[in-house]
Amino acid sequence: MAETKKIEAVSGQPVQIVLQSAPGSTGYSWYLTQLDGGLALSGAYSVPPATPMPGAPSNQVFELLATSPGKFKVVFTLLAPWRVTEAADTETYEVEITVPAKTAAEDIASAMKGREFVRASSVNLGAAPSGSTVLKYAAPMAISSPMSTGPATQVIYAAPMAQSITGGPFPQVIYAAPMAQAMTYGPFPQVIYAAPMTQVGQGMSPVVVYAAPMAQSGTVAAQMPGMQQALMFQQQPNVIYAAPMTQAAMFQQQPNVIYAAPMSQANMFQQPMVIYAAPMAQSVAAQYGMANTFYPCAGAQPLYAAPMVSATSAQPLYAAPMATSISPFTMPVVILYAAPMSAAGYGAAMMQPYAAPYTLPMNMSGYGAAMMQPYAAPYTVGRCC
Amino acid sequence: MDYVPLTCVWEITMGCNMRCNHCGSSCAEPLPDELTTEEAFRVCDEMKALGMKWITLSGGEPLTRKDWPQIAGRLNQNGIIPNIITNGWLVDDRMVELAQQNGVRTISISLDGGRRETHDRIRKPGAFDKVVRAFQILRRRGHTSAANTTVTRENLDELDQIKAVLIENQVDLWQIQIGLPMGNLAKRPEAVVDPEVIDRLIDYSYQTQLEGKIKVFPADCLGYYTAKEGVIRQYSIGTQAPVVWQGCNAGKRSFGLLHNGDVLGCTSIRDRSFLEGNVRQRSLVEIWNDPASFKWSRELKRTDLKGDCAQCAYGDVCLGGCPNTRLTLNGSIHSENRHCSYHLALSRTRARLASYADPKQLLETAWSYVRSEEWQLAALTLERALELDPEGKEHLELYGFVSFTLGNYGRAKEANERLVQKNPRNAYALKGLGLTLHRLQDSDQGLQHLRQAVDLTTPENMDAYFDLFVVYRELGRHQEAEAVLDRGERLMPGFRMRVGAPGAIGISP
Repeated sequence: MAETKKIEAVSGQPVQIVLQSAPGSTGYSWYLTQLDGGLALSGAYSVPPATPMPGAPSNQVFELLATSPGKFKVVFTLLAPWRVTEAADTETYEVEITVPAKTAAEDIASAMKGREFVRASSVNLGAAPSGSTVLKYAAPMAISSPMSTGPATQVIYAAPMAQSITGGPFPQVIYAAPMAQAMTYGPFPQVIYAAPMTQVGQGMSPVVVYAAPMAQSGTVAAQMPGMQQALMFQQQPNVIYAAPMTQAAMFQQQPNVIYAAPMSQANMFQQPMVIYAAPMAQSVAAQYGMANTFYPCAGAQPLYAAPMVSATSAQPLYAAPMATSISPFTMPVVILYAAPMSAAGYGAAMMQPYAAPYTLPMNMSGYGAAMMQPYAAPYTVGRCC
Repeated sequence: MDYVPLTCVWEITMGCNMRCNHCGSSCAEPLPDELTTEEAFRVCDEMKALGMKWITLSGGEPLTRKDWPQIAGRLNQNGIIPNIITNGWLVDDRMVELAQQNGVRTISISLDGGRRETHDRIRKPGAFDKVVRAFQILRRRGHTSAANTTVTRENLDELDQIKAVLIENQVDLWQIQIGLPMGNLAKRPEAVVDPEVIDRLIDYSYQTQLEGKIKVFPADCLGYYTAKEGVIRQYSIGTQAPVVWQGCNAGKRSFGLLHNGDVLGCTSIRDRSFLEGNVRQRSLVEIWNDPASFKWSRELKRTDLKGDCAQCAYGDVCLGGCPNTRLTLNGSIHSENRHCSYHLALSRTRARLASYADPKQLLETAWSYVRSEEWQLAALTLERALELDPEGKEHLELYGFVSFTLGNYGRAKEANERLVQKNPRNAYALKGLGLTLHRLQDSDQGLQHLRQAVDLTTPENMDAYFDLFVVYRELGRHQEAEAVLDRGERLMPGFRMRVGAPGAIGISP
């Protein structure tokens, strides 16, 4: 029996515990045998072995949700179905769940933001003297200035960019840089978010392309037919996020992965509160009768977690989108994209601002060398001490 | 600026068959100086000449005036949509038939109690049943129906019951407003709801809107700038985007017309000092287009207002919300509006800030707000820091900048003056003071300070050159602007290209 391991977690956040077993060779696998209140099991699955060798170990992933503060025990037992009374091993975790402490800024803002207000800058459009140029009364510690950014003299937020490339025929994942340009002059502030784009598997696997979400900030014409009352108000600058759209190219009759367009109801008020409805992924594998014989659940492929963004105040919180797509090669190729996740601002180093994209291509056999390429750790919230 | 009137509330009579205890006009019997039918027709024609879109016929009880169908019909003939607000007592099949024949679009009936006893106590015995019957007639005849509820302490807790009555009778639209201490309610100011009720009413309206059974239209006295309010108006008006308050329309897009032809910015603001003229003496067109008309509204600026309204991030557009709220509750249209959701939020924030006593921590916090462009929070935080450390240089510098960004030039000027007083060679404060004075229309003084800032500027921070250049350009002093570029170029090669090049910020080729 291993000693109790300690995990720190934050209330409201997921905790992932990964245990290794070799059910193929030993028949033993991990079972959750004790779960205290304060934690909830939100999911469990196995990541298949990295190699096709019979009996290779696999990872069992248990996903928990920290629901309330306190110290709670989680116990896993290594069991064989035919010998349930004799545990081969036990793993015990003590999960300490804390409520994230507020910063002063959050605390003060919470008084103001007991309710959400329209962003003042979007209301006061045109309040500046007409024909006026923009006076560069920068904050004492200027972040950008006309001098430093050239003729465009814009405030430019550098783009975070993640690039993860696999070799050979394996999927290539490129996250193009989202880029924000805030232009602070002209008739009204124009905010343009460049498109995040994902390209997967150039040529050799379904190509998934996310069209660009685009934000346009403009003033909607005040007069709308048959709605004369609208004349009485100037509408908010209209922010439209085009739906990211995924097109899955057909490849030799392969089942496509189709991602329905996420519906954005984003930033109506240019407020920090942004809600993205969950994109939902659907596989048409079943339509094509490509029932996967390798995985027991192949007929009902696949599971796509719904990403949800609920960013408030200075603490964006991006829940993890997760995609599992099944490629239709003779042998299935499983691609797992773990979640980029942002949970910035809760202090402590226990949260990675953005977990790295996680790619796990797996070629089962007859398709070159067996390979497992985990590029980076999947998101982790709890930190094992 | 040219103002175009779109709508008007027209109190066609002071006569009323009820004696409501909150009536803002204290209506009773019709008055002898009411406009004749012919005079009313002439007004209808003048409304057409002004390009008006729709008119709300009110009172008094407009249906007690026998020629209301003719007035509505004349408006309709002139391409103006007439709507009617009534207490419902005289609504019957014949009345609705007449309304339909004369192009009346919406008939709105006042309902102030969800229980019969409440409504009848406020208005008149039997009134509740009349209202319900009126809604049923409107529904049966397929006519657009609406309800008005004036919220006081007497009926605040009956909103659910009122809503149930309206939904049961398939009423299309529900306008909710607060009762203000004017007319009959001025004798019972204790019945006026507290400012906190504004948030409650917004939340209630939002929830009702989400339920989707009746459209809610919060009156102009409910606001301001909450996200929910924007969505409520978006739904009720039917626009694609949330709708936010753009300031009172009185004298800008609407006006009020009293029974005797007196023209006001709003029928709620009835004091004679706000009277703009009378249609018997001057035509409506002349009154509306007179540059001297509606000056109290058309020329109102944020800096005319007091208290938080003068410092509010929304102030330039909001201008204190409903002026009648300020007038009736505080005695002046220039007072701050405490019945405002944002005002409540500011008060809450100040109370929270009072528990912070470390100026350094407050400065850091203010910086975090500046980085996220939350200027109002930054200003409040710095004000607390300056309470604790009135001479803190960094606090004052940042406060000057934040105040400038909020358009609070008076406060920006004061902060920078204090900095310059302490250190006449503070280039940053000189620059801030110069820009602030320029914005305050004192450009000569502003330029003087900007020039001093330029003299103290190093190549590492050329902002003062940029600002001086821009101010000269704004003033049309192009040669001096060019000279600033030359001087800047000498100090930092490449400056001219970066600032003066076509396409550079805000500068035309």
